[in-house]
Amino acid sequence: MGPNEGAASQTAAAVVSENYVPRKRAQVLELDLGDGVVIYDDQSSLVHHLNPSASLVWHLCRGEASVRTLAAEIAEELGLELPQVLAEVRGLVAELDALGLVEDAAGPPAR
Amino acid sequence: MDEDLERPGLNRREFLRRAAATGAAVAWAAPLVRTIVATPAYAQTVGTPTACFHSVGGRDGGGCMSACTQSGCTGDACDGTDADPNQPGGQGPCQLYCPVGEGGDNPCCNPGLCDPNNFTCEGGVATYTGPTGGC
Repeated sequence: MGPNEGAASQTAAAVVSENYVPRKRAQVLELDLGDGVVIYDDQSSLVHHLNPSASLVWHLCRGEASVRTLAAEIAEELGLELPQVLAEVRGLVAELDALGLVEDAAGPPAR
Repeated sequence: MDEDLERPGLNRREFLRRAAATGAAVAWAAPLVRTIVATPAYAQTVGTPTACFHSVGGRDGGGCMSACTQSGCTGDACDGTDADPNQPGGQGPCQLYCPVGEGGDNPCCNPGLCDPNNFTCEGGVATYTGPTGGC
């Protein structure tokens, strides 16, 4: 089973399972710019800029809580609609996963 | 975002409350990731999404297969129907690194799989030479 095990969708608009527990991968370096985060992945030589909303989610990717839980907490604390936040967080985590920036802490070790 | 927000021991709820209180997350908008290739020779903004899949995504939208075949190898060599001593089981790089069954339209394990510069073709054998982080 691979690192994208939680990526359940077969469509172009990939999303991860609500049970995916995102955890930052060890090889990434991050710099908080205040209005977003810049991430450098040494292994892919790619630099990523996350906008403030994505940065908020990124900071919560500690391998402690599922996407569903994170979305619920964000929605509650920020006074947002859960369905919208859940969809956005699932899509974001799928993209971070595809970029190799996070892994599913609930799954087996990556290959 | 305040560095204090990532202090060890700070729980998620407290983190979110502080983020909201400091204004860091007041204006929630659709989360976006923009990606730039850091290697100067290949520097270009590739925008969002940058996900790399077996046959979609990447720079030209053709995914790993497009990137690999630009090396001069055939689609069969890239997808793995030939016998390749460098790829166990006869798998080509796109089959090996972007396997069917992982979901999300067969995502590749590293964005480098969608970069044509990361493939060589010698003797009809396609070889991926790029980064393998996440694979």
